[in-house]
Amino acid sequence: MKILIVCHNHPRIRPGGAEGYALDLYEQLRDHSGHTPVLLARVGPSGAAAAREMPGRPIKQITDDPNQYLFYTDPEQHDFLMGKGRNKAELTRFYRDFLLAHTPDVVHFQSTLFLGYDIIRVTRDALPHAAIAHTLHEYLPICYRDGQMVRTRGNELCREESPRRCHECFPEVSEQDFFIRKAFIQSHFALVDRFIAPTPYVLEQYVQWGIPRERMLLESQGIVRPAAAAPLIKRPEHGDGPRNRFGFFGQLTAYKGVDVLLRAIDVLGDDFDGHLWIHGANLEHAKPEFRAELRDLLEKTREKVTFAGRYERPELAELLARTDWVVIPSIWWETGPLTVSEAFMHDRPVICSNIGGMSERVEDGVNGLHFRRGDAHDLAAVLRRAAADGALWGQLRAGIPDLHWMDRHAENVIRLYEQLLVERSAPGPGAPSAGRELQSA
Amino acid sequence: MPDVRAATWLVRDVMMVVGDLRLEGELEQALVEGSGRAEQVTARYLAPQAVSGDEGFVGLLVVHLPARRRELLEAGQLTLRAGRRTTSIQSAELMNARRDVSEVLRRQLAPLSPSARNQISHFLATAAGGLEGGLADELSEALFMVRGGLREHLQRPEGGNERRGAAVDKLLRIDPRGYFAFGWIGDRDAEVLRVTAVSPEGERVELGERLFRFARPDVWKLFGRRDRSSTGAGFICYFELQSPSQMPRGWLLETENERGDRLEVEAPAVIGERDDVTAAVLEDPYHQRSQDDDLMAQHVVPAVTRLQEQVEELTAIESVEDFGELPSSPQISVVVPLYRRIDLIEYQLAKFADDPDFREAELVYVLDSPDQREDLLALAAGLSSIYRVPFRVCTLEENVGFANACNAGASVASGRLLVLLNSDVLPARHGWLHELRAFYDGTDDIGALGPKLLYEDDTIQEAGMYLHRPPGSNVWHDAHYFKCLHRSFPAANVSRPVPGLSGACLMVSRELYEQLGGLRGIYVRGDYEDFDLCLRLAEAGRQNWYLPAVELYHLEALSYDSEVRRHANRYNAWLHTHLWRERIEELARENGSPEGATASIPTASASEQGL
Repeated sequence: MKILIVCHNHPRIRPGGAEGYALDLYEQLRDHSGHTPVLLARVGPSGAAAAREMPGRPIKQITDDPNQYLFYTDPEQHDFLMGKGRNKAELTRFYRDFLLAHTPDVVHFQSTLFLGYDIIRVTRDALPHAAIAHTLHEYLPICYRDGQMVRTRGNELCREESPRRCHECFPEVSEQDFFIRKAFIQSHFALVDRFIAPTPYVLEQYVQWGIPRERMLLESQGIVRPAAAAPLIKRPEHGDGPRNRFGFFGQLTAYKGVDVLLRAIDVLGDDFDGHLWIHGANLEHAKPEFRAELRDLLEKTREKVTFAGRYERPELAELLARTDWVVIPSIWWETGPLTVSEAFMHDRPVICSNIGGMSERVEDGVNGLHFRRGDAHDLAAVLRRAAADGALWGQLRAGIPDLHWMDRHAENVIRLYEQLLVERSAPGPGAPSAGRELQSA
Repeated sequence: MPDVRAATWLVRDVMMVVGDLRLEGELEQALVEGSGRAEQVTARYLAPQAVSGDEGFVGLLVVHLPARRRELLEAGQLTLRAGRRTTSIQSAELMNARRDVSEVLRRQLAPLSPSARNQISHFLATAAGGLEGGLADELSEALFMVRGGLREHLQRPEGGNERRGAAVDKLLRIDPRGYFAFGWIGDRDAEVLRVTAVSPEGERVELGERLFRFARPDVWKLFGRRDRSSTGAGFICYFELQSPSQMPRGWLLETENERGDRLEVEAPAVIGERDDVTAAVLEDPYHQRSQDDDLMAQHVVPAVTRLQEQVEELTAIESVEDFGELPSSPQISVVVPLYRRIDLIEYQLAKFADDPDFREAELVYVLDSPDQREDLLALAAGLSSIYRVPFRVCTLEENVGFANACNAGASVASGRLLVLLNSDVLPARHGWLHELRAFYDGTDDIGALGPKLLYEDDTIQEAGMYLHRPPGSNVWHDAHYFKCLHRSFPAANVSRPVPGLSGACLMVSRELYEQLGGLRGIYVRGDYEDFDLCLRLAEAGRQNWYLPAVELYHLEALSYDSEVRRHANRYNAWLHTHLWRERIEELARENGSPEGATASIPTASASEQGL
């Protein structure tokens, strides 16, 4: 079986959850499944300053791996509202030829950002018999606010989209255009055989939005099992002082709530017996006001906070070994963040916001602690408790569940691919056929 | 023998002859004869008795002499026939009398009375327009010069202390013969009896009786009292010339009050760009407040109708390009006019792509903003390879509006059934085309068929249309059944005959559509022509049906500038009422409602059925 994995970025160029997962899945399939994966990662000026278009040559190699490709698209030519490129030749010529050359049995989309939702249609058209799967990493199809489902005014959580509500968030975009946006995206999603939702919350959101439940698969992302040669580095469990070292791992964007965390540390004041390390990337992509705010907060909390900057994935084990608690203060729903898996893999309990994908993965009082999303005082209280209660850490650490490892996950995903291929080869009344309409809930 | 006093060339091929040509009655024929040949030429004659107020006028002839006939004349003579008399003027005689224009004006015509000179100038302007070859710019300029030489210069109002004044605020060219003026006339002393528009070429049109007058408080202030005329100082006037006028500058307005005080004012440069003209006629500040039937019937409608007719005449297809494999014998042709928002086709194609009906239908996009042709064709090529829905792109030569664009699209359509569809309409589900077709084919004497149209929030935009007349108004406006109620509202879910349907999505037999001449282009900017079509279908014995089982979203107001539309809408409502009043009032009587509003809505019974 040949599997094409399509992603909106390559983690080597720009780290990120969906991008990291795409590469992990690709490597798992390549090294351990006996199937042939191909990775096509979109690249362009917004992903890396160095990436530039070579006219007539939008597809190129990233490494010496013959099955990993970069696909250049120009964000200047991308309509972000509708999610489509203006230069159709990118898809109808180069991508299409690429597909026909590889003729994969399965095309598995991670995100079509910068590629256009119509890439799905070009795929279906070029490969009528291929199975098309799509993992739902965020809510971009539902929500124009970077797919976060957080409202523009006051960062309130959003539980329900509609042209009216979307227009409230973006007064410059008409209700009619939001209606068209949804109709347009759904017309392409109608061609996807199965959507993979990493958590129940994500699944329900998309069902409510209009994807039929029978076209959904609940399957959380697998995490790569650490190689035997690199055993976990663990802090001694006893006799090494209080468990008061907190770590933030992730992108430094407003949605990830790093500001909430810094405010909590500020609330705790100088007599707080604990310290926070911030391991974060992509600050350069954040808005200037947000960068300024972070700078101020870091200045105010510098006694208690170390800004450690960007990290590479191989460093993660060591960084986590020096951390007691992983904090995930996201103000958006998350879709099942990789950070939870990484923390659990290294036996670290997680302190997280009480919403969405992360609150589903982390059980309050079992393997982590919840706090009220966006509430720095509540988070401060939780941090104080975590740092002070000597027994709590060990108790929660013991509650960490078995992880969903990438090998298991890959088996499930392969099983899905096979099932979809069967469905496609014998379209019966219940089988999804090309272009079966999505019905809004 | 004719007595030729002077001859001159107004322009290269138009000769003017002053003299007593001894003609009795109307000039019937003019010939140039020479070298044994005779050829007819166009000529006009102003007889001495046709000019009042000066005995000294002897007669005036203008004759059109294109090059070949000019050569013929040089060797022969000009023969004029009026009644039983025939007069010939030898070439030599004309040559001897030749002078330049200014000399002819100064010596022969200037000594005449002002009234006679005005009549001569008017004659020249109207005669020249009737000559073969029409009125070229050059001739216009010559006539303007002649007018300058002959015209009596009247007093012009200056400053604010005058006893009387007048102004032309705006002068619009509807077409070279039709003009539309806005202005005012104020007089402290006496009623103004005569108001004359003088074209740059010298044609004089008496407007006094035609003027539509209305109150202009700003003019009262200027003259310190209400002007004597009870009708108001302001005026609006559509008028027509006998002969076309070409020059943008040089128009005059002359007035004369009952005491004989005369005044002249110069008009500003003529506004001629069609869109500006239409907008100015429709947006006139007076009729924004209330629509006066006289103003509408005498001035606004004739002017706008001529403008719309010009537009209709411009309707022509520049090119038709096909994308994808078109069905060989489609049952249905879907005609979608595009204006500006060409991007909308992508969303329609995305919705049509997986609907099997569109493999068998003929989808025709009609581009009504032709400057976007290259962009649209490039877009269409890209979209065609993504969506695979076969379609045609029909580019018009000019922007001609919704109705004409639909008609042009229908003219290239080959389906038995026509669906008129707006570009901002997206279907709720697949299969809507064959559902419409099934109902259409299964219903006897059907005229037009319309689906339920929805807003983006699932409320009804229309479930068929009716006409209603607001209390105190004499104009019937179109209105939509069940507007703003939820799509599931029971009474809106009953198939039934309705008076009208929206052109946003409407099915009609192509044969029927063509028999009736399609949509009428007399309405401005896509409005009321749909109801007009439905009324014509009803007149032809057909019934128009509403089919709620088919739903489409009409994302209204995406493609229009609503301010301009508001003015057009008022105009269209008036015109529609004017054309259909009897039929509309008959419908209202049938429904037992003076306002015609909700009478025909099936309420209780339908909601009980829960359909």
